[in-house]
Amino acid sequence: MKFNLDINKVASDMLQASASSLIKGGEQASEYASHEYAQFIEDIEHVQTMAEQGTISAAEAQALVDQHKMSMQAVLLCVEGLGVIAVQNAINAALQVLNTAIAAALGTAVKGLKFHL
Amino acid sequence: MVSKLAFAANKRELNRMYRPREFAATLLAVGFLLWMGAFGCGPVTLIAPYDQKIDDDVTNLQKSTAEFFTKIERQGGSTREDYKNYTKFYDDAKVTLSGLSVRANAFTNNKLTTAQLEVLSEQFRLLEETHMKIGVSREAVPEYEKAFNRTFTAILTLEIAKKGP
Repeated sequence: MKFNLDINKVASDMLQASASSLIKGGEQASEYASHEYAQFIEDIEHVQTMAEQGTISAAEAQALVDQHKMSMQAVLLCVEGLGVIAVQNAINAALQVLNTAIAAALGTAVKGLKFHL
Repeated sequence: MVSKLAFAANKRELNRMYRPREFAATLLAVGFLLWMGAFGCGPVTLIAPYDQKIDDDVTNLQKSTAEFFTKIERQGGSTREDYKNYTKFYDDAKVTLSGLSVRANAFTNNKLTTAQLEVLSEQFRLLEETHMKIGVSREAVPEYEKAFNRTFTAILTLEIAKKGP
């Protein structure tokens, strides 16, 4: 029985799989976050303009700013979650590579295994 | 004499059967199979799985909130005296969010979604308080709607991302 597992190649493949998964997840989170930050700033500016022009009262402007601030908390929680999911996907991508490599090596080993009973 | 011969034959048979290298190889193979079964198959989970019920209920709550804002905008705003006509909306939102929070809490590794739902509850509480005290002007409606939609989108974005790659 011969168990062939190229540790260096498997490690390199695992790193590559996890890195690409992590980069993909990071890009998605960053894209979403930057869009929401820009929108938030725009919304606060708009509320300020409306308050200055007297379109809405100061109390209502404050309530709107509070609402926007709270919604940004939900956005930040989402970004944190997207980060966790990216890490989870990266770990699983690496484990998938390891599983495939071990299964392949084990398959070869078992093929050549001779039982003497 | 016969028993001695029988013993010798059995010994030869045993020696033929017991081959240390093959035995070790078999053990190794079985060990690997067990290891694969125990650790190699299941994916790692750091966050709760996707929940269709949360997705559906948050989407429905977004729709009823949009209807609420559209109604207020169409009638030219809502004064604090008019608040009593909207208590059913606030009560329904509270009940829905309570159910969602209980469900989200039931899943392990779901603290982020639970925290998002708490933020949304706080937004509804603040909106109701503002409505009671000063009312909701027509001009402010689009801004309220943007803030609520940002939270709804954040909750749904996280929930859908849980579906995986």
